[in-house]
Amino acid sequence: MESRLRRLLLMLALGFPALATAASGSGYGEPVVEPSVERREVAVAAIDDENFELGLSAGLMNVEDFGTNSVRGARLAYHVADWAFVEALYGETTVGLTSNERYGGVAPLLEPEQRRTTYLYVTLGWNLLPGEVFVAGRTFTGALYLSAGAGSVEFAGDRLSALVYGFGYRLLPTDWLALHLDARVHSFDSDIQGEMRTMTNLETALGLTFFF
Amino acid sequence: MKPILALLLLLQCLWLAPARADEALRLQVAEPYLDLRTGPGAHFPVTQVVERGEWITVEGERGGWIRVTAPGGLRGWVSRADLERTLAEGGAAVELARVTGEDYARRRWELGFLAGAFEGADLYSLSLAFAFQRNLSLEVGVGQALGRYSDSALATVALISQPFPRWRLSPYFVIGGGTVRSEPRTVLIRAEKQDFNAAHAGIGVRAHLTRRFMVRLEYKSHVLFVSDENNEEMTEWKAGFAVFF
Repeated sequence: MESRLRRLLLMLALGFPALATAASGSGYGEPVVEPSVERREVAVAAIDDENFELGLSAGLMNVEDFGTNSVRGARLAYHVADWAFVEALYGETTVGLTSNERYGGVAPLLEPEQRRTTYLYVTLGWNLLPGEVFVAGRTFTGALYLSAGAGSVEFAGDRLSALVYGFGYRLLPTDWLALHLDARVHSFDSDIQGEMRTMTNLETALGLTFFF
Repeated sequence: MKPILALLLLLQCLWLAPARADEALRLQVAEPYLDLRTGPGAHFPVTQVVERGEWITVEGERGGWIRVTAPGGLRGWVSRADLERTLAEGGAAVELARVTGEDYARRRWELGFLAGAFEGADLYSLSLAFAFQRNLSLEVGVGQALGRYSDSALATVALISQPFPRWRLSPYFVIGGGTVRSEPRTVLIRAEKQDFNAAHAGIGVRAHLTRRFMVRLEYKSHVLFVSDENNEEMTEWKAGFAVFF
């Protein structure tokens, strides 16, 4: 009993100063091991980004019962990441005559200025299949993308809420130029032909855009 | 007119493109090698590498990937993480400027596009907010509600209180007013536009997604002052995205 107590006291008497000297010996100011890592300066680099894409397109658009007509459009996209983008789409077409107007002998449904149809959408796009294509011995990058969104269509003098969805292919001949081939569906409800019904309209277009 | 404007913008981009090359950033490869991908994305193959000690020239960034050129006519895309393992002139470590949580917490301007429903009609809205304090911002917004029987155009000014601006998922409260222009759609009744003053209150939540992007979800209750004795209540909910800068 006594010996154990003595040992404890001895440990306290000898151990603490030993610990204390060890601590002061190794000191926080002077490390035992010199780290071989050099302290370096950090250069913060701001890189000019080219996430915006702006361009024009032209193609054909079918408006249910009103025939297929040429369509002109513009697009502004922002590439959020390598797999996603947000896009604003604008387009205009002039619809033709319905079969009833053409052959049924009925009075024209729309005034000439009401035949001008425009659309404006905001869509989200997903680069589903990015990859490379080989054309004429050269390699280009591109991507097959899906996109969907909503917006408004001005049709028959009326502004309608519309949905748009489709897919497209983007081919980049250079780092800043892109060719687009798009196929999209415009869907909206209209009562222009009497009863309210959903009109499904197809558009195919070729586009040219620039990244900046 | 619009296509001409767009074309002018395009021409301007073309004209500006070569000017950027003058102020190129040069970096030295510090790892044993640096992978060059053929396109901006992890899916694209690595077909070339640049060895340690070689200098690369940074040309631009797209979707988080950086386009570089290297000696011997090599060109390719490098990930941000790989680029941060290179050295700048004078041996300094490279850190790319990025949007941090601090930038998100200190955001001043916010531009949002939200879509949803205004009393059953499809609603599209655009808003711009300025945070004059960490917890308070002033937002102006315009909206177009396209319904089966009537269309409405909304113009609002609102005060937004965000008690926790640093939270990645940050709730907020809205109170404001504005005007609502209502236009019946039907051809049977003589269509007459009507303007109403309105007040609204609501709640919402922001979620910081990536870089400068946020997702927003919002619910508002509007009171339209239809006449001296009569008020009309309308509800609005919408979801969408916003960017801050």
